[in-house]
Amino acid sequence: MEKNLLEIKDLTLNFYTYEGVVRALDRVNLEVKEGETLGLVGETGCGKSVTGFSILDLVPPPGYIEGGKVIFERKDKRYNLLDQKDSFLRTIRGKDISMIFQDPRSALNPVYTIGDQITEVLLLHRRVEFCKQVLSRKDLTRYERSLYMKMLKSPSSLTVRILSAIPILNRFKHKIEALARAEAIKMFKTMRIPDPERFLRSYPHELSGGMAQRAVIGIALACGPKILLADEPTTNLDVTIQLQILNLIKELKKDFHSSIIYVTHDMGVIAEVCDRVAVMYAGNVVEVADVFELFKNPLHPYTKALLESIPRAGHSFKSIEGTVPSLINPPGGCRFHDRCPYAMEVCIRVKPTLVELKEGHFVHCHLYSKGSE
Amino acid sequence: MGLLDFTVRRLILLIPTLIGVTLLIFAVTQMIAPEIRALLYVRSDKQLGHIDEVIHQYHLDAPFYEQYFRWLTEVLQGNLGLAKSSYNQPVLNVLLERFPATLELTLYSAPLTIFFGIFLGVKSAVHKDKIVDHITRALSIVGWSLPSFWFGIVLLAIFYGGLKWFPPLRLDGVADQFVHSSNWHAYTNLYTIDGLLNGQLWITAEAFRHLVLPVIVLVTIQIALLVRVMRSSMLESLSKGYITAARAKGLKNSVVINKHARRNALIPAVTLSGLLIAGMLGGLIITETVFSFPGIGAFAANAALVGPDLPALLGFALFTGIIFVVSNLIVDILYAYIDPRIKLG
Amino acid sequence: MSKKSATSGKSRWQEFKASRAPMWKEIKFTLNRLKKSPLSILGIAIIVFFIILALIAPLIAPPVPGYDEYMMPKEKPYGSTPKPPSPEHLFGTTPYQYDIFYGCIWGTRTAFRIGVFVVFFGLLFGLIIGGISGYYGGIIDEVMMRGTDIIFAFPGLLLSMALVVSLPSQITIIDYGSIRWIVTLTSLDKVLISFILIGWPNYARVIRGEVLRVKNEVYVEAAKAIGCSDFRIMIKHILPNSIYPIIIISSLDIGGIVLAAAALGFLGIGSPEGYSDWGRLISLSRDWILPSNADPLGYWYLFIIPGIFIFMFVLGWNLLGDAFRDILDPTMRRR
Repeated sequence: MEKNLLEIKDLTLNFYTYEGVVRALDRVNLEVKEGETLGLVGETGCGKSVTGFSILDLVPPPGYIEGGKVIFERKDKRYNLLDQKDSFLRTIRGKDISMIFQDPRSALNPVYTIGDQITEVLLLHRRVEFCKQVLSRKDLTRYERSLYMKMLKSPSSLTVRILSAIPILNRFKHKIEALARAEAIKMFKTMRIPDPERFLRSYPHELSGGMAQRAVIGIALACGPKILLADEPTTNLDVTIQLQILNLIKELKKDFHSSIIYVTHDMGVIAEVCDRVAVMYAGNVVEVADVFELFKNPLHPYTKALLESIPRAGHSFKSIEGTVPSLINPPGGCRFHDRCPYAMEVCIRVKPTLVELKEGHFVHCHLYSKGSE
Repeated sequence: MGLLDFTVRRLILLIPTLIGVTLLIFAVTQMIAPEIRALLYVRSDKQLGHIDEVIHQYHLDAPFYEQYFRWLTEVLQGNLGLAKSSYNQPVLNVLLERFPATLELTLYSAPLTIFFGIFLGVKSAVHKDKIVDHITRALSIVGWSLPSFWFGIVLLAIFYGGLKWFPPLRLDGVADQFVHSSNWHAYTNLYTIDGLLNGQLWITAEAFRHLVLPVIVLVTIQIALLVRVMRSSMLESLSKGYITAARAKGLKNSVVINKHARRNALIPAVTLSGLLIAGMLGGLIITETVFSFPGIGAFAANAALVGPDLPALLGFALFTGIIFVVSNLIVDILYAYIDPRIKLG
Repeated sequence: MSKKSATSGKSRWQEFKASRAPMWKEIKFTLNRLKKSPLSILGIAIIVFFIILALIAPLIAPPVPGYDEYMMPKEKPYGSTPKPPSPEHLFGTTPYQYDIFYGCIWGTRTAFRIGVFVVFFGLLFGLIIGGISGYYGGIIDEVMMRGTDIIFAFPGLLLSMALVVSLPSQITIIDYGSIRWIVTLTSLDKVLISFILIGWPNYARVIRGEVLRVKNEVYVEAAKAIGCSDFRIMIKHILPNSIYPIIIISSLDIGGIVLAAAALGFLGIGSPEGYSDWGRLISLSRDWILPSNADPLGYWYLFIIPGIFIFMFVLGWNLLGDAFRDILDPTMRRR
């Protein structure tokens, strides 16, 4: 049995807005194992994106995490990320856990080149490695050598920072920047981007959606993260590009041995890419299973309805009756009860507990709870 | 196309804009009686006694476009008429003589305004709705609501009338005599700099002493606008997707704000700064009057009061208009340089 | 004709109310947000204070019968030395014995008149020209935009000074046979007209922007599709949807206009000597406070008090304006 790389336990998140308190996440539980791709699927507004942001504590106000734990394993130590200081989390973000976003062009800063943006993250997290590489060269001046030694020993040394700000004196950084750029080019070559040097020099608005997304993916993978959070990365792209990016992600996963949390609303993508799937509805996880198992044997009424609603040639459209409830005053008990064709009296009052019906197949539903019919 | 082509194109477009400016000024003057307008064409004192001849010579009773071209010819030769309010000296000479004073004021007010405006705007946006934000906004609204002349007088009353620390005028007494003597070499006509170049540090110190109050007035009032613009553009920048992405990379908060958000937020602030500088160079009419600072603004105020001295005012309007248009051009080019999204094509 | 609509049972009035419901909701939301901001409440309080002051002016500063009520009373002998505050002259007198108290109180009325007049007409011209330009586009739009660019090329104070100097004192509107209509412009009128002429391009630009935005909305297309005339579309659809923020913002320019008028008044341009105008009031005392050998502290009452009036008046409007701008900013609206 593989280890859990990341465990989310009882995560609760609220948004305090003008119209009321939005209970966005209600005791969410998830596990991510090493090397697997976990799909997080659900309708818009079910909380799947926000779950991803919570892992890295990137939920902006008025959102506040009210409870729960996010346990991440790093170098054989387990940390609850929600307890950690921001300085610690910064060593995790971009390096152990990174993120790719839904709209690539808005995730990239328009006034900096792609090269600037990827070397930024490379220099941030792999600085020690690059310093050592520079110091092993023979052709350094005394000035450069002493500065790089300083950088190695104390990364945030004041001397280095001051000198970096002064135009001519900061030329010593060129060596380390060149290394970072070389790494970036290597990365983009692996991603099979034609003419990576030109790519590094481009600005985000000059790129197409697919190329921009590749840039974002490159930035995310640059420091070899253990977990990649993919927040609907292909939703905004053309279908043909979507396929390319999906294949790219699959390949990179093999090369980098990362786990992926793939957030999407598209069941087709889930089928393509994921090993395991968690289905979310209105801030709750309702079902978790291996991908084949889920498609073959969906247990939760919502999952069943989702699968049935996938359009198929020759069949008429089936949609799910009703609309997603407002999370300001969510329905008591099971949040799906007002749209569930199998709703029972107990569903209105009591929240269902997690039941493991088969190995690895979990459901939150009274239909399967012990003691119910 | 590159930045160079962009610049050249905008320079070419400068000409119609300048023509438009001169047209507007000229159109405004058409409402005035010909005798007064004749003063625009006068080159020497002697002509003042023979206005009728001047009117006839320049066809001031001729149709609009004919007059416009004649006037334009005069202007391009550097003749802006004689200034009644300034001992009948040629307008152009007076303007050029007085411009360094205005330039000096701008030289010290502009960087302070821009630096603190941007700094406070960023701080205000980052700490939105906290004490820093409220205080900054309150102070900047107060600054913007102050009548500049009143603020100037109050400061003069306290710091000059009461404390005798910071006097009005540009230089007075011994210092003033010195800079008009033969011991003084005027390199830039900016006393603060020339003092250093002449090795007479006390002149520089005196010049600064006289600059303190007007600069305070200018900075206080103009900073408000810049803070407000910077704040709102910073708030917009902070709400964009690349900020979350930058945080997700593991960057420190200060880096995210200063490197990522601020760069984008600066873009509208740069435009505003350019306009502020252009406005200052165009003559700080009120401030110069209050402090009796011998710049082109005071000249214009005097011309409006003692008179009205038409050639002086129009010369001033033309001078200022050109400065404004050129400044706008520079701002546009700067804008294109900073923001890579501007299509240069 | 029956008041009931043909399609539903509601009366025309009820339908009208229903169609305006979203607008009311927005207005209520705005007022709510306004209430929560302490700076805006202060601004409103200040403005209300000045309104009251303007209304009760004849009571607390009774005009001298036979004279224009806006002219400050002078007291014989007309000595040139200003007098400090005393029971007869609550705020003192200027050189040549104008009563400062009277000037400040009636100056409130002058300030309101200037502000409202300029904003009203500026907005009117801006609306018409900006609306037409935005709606029809094309050559009209181009020409208008170039024109406003040129006007923007000048710092406002300068242009207004030039205009005030150049505008003739008498404009002949009609001179046809026996019909003559000549308008005489006072110096103050010229100032106001110059402000309007300088200000309307700004409004026109903003309105044009709003019109362009609204023009592309689907309901305008729908109206065109069912054959509404251009005029009807502009009045019924575009105007109500673009005007709300503009009215707010332009009316809050009153502060800036009064400030500019005070500046011109201080220079001596605008109202005649002795008129109850705050800026002009201070300019009467220039010789006693500005020159190097003057005694501004001793004669503090000559400028401190009228200056405070100007400052507070403008502050009130600016506070309100800033609060409104914050609230109307769409990105901030729903936080």
